[in-house]
Amino acid sequence: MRILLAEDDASLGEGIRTALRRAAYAVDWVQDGASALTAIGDGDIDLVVLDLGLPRMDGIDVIRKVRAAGGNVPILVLSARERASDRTLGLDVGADDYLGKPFDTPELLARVRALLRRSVGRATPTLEAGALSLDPARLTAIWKGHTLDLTRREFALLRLLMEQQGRPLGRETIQQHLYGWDEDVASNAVDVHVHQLRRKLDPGIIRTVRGIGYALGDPSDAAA
Amino acid sequence: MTSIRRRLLVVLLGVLSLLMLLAAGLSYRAGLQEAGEMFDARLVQSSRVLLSLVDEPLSDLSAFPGDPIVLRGWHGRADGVGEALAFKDGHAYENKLAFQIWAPDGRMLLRSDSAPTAPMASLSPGYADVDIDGAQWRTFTLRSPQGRWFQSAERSDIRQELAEDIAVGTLLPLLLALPVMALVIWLTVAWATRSLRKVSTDIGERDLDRMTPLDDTKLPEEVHGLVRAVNELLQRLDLALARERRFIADAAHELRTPISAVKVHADNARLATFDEERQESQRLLARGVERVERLVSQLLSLSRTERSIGKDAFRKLSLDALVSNEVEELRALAASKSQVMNLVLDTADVFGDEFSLGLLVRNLVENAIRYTPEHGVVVVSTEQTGEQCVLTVEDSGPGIPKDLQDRVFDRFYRVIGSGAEGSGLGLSIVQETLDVHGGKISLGTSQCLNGLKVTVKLHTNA
Repeated sequence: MRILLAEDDASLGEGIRTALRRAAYAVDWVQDGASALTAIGDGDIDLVVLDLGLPRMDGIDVIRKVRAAGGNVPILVLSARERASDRTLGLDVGADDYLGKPFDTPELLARVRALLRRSVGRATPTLEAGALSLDPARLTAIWKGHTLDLTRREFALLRLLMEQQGRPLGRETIQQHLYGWDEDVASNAVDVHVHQLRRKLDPGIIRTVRGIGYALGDPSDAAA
Repeated sequence: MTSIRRRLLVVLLGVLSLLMLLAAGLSYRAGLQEAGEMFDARLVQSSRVLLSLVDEPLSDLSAFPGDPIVLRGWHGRADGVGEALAFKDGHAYENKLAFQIWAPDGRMLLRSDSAPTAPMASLSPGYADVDIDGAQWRTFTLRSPQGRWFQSAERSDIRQELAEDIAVGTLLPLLLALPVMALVIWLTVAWATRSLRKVSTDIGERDLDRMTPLDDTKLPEEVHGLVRAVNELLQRLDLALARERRFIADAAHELRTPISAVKVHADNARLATFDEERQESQRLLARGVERVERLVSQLLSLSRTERSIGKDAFRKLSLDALVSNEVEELRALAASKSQVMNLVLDTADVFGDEFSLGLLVRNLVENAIRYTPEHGVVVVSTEQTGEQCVLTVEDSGPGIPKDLQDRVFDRFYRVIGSGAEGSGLGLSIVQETLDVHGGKISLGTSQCLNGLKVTVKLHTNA
């Protein structure tokens, strides 16, 4: 899951990015409205956390432009403008959620999760696939009744593939959803994470789709 | 409490009463004088009439000494005034008139029955005022060619009575006018002060949410000055309140982000899985708290500066000493960025408030340090040119683009991408301080360091 964070305040931006990363999201962080608009236009973003009082372009204008261009990426507004009229305006120009500053980090993360699951048309908070169950809120994965000890990236990869429900994803796409653009990535990072997951769960948990990449396997098949 | 109405009543009625008493006194005196002149003339005339009538016949009688002749007057009883005292055969006042005639040898020849048997006055010609049986009399004595003495007398209280009548006649209508005047004054004052009461009701209706000017269209021009002064005060209060409200709103708004940052770092520290993550978040949390602290202290400084430094607190200060003190406080900050700090301080005097000028210097130098990269240079200089002193702060930082140079004085404005964690209040405080001191600031490019050059000009004397 790749999240675009648009926040001009250095300290707050750093704090939110840390919180999101620890929740196993890849975070791209921009500090002005124009850059936010460009980043959203480039695509491959699952959610935008948007401050409104941004330099170079106000957050409200960013939302308007994104929606006018037909973009349907979920947008969570995070703003010091927290009067009812401000919230109404934000939601009515196309934001999906609105959180006033100051906020509780767990609440921000819960809203991010809610928006993300709704954006793929899911209502249940946990992800289920056969004997595999994933709880994005607690960052835990249960495989055949045992809690797995996964790194954040491994958890993120598993979550990504489960959200796709068996549809394959290219290596490039997977990498983009695991790493922010300012993070160092080894060229075979995705293959390493896939290898680790296969080792920790079951070799059949992830299918290699020739010429495309990887998809969530059918664990019951693998077990058979 | 003094009441205009009561005071007007007392003063006006008091003065009026005094004037009336004075008028009555004057008319009494004038009446007394006029009556005196008239009665004196009549006294002489009656003496002369008496003389011309009886002097000759008395010469015939002089050979026959005997008891003096007594002429009898009317002796009825009567009370009242005017016509009530007059009768067909006499007048009640006849006994207030008397005469005597004396022979040259001092023998009484003739008298009215109202006159005593002793001489009413000494036998010498002219007027005299005498006391007879406890009453005041006015006498006139005339000597005939034969040496007889003719004395006419008249009770003085007749004159006083007349004068009193005249005085009372003058006083009475005035006395009757007194209560009318009091009523008129009372009503007039009530009418005139109604506008004052309206103004006070209007002022009473004003509060923090209703600072509209008072309406002076229906008020007498005497209270226009008052109303105008109150309106000006209301306007000033309204402005000050609006500024205060804006300040509080701005401050509340601007505190939200730094406080959010503190909260996020605190949450991150609390929820961290690994020790190094927790330590990193705690470090960021500490920095966030410091930033809030600085922001709050700057907000307080700004609010204090805005609340207008009393010009009474202005005095002559040494600008170079002030700069030297403030820079000393900031040396640690510059050292942490391995910056070189140069002072070129010529003696310069400045007239102003020590606290806010110190704040001005600190903000400018702190800005220079914050926005200049590590290993940079900051130069602070002072000099005096005639009536002005000049403070210059130059740095080797990135400077401020021309089109943003005006905006940096806006409250909470921060230049994008500058990387420094400022509050956006520093230059607002500087501007506010300069406004109070009548100083000027200009931004430019440093010739020697290529960074920003801030020049501040202040007055040396009051």
